[in-house]
Amino acid sequence: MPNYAILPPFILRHIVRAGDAEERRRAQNTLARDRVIRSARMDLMANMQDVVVMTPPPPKGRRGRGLRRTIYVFKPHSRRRLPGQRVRTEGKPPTGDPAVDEAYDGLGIAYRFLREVFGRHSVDDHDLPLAATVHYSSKYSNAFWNGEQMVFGDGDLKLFSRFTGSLEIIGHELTHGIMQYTAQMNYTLQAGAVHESICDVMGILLKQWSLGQTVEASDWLIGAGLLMPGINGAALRSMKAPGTAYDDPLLGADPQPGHMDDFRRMQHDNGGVHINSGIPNRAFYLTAAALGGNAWERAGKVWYNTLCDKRLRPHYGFKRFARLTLRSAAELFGKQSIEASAVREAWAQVGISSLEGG
Amino acid sequence: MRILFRTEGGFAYFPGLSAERRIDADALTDPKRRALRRLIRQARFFDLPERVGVPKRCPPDCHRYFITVIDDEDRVHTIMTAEPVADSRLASLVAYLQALDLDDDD
Repeated sequence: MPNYAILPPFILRHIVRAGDAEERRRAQNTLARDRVIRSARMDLMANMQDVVVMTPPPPKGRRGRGLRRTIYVFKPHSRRRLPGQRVRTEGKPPTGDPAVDEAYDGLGIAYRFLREVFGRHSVDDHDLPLAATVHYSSKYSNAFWNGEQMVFGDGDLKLFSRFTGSLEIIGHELTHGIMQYTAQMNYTLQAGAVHESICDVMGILLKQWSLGQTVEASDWLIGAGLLMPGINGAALRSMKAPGTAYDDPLLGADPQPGHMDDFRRMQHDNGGVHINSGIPNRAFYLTAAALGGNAWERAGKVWYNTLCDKRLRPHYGFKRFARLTLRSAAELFGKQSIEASAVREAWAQVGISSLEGG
Repeated sequence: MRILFRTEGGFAYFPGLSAERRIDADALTDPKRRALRRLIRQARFFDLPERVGVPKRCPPDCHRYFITVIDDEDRVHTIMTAEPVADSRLASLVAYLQALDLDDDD
């Protein structure tokens, strides 16, 4: 039996016409799979082309209005439109629905974190009201920012539990909103991995700040507790040790690299944005570990300052982002500071060096 | 009838969940096969454009779905859609494909 995957399409089409039942079936499958791969490739290329020219939208909120949260429940039978039915607004008591109350509390903690640590007024820095929809779809195992609000699934309860149960995921999704109003980083290839990593950094800082955890006390896990009992894994990603978060027969093995030597070139996942983000994630961890104490006070400030830096361009990959973190550290703490030195050394440890100049 | 189904994107990348799923309707139980055929018919799958509700720029972490159906008359059609899937009939098909415990095929 030939290897159908390597046959050119015109031969496969001939087999579809002239082969026996089994040959036809295999040739059809291969042709159909090619269509899917082509669609995915076109989607990736479309994303790469679109994003570079975008500029941040103007803020939508009004500075000084403070924290305003609204939590919605998705209604699958009412035209599947977001946000859904409003179930809790600012100042209202808990509903007793864990997903609703976790989202409400998580958004409140995130707002205070941004305000107190970075002086930022919500996602757009103009007190944009924070909205989240919970119980999205059915057994939905994901969370995302749709450009206006956060959306959380309940998990399939076989592999994943509720996504609102993880504060760092709330912080991660909220940071996608911050990116929308600031850096507008591309969401493909290395720039996409930088984008993802910044969201993980802000997510873990939110968790550490809310728990009063030092660098040493933190687990540095993204999505800790999200995997159901019986799944062999601790979380979705490890910033301290990328590639070690899970190894399970159903999920596979955590593919994240922690060094440029293991950088993955791929078309899936927008060019590996959730995979190669392990490299800048580890650079942040190493910076924070070298400085010790509370990560949000020094390493976090350097990364946040870089995120807001007008010199950060949407297409910047690891090296140019790393250069900007070093400049941020120098501007915040001094060129010869231990902070600048920690940043330089951390990037070198993940295989990115020669950051001066450029 | 055969279906190829793949999910792209999401909050994280899992090698074990990113593989394309192949569903041979003949290998399913009668109720599952009937349900699957009904959902494909109700979604008017072969009349759908190649991109259904896919924004020019997909939001970060959002799921995109690639579905190919090869029917009994050897018609082949591939579509791509993305969360939130606004078409409730197509959303039902996506949910059913996600829930099906698979695999057969080569």
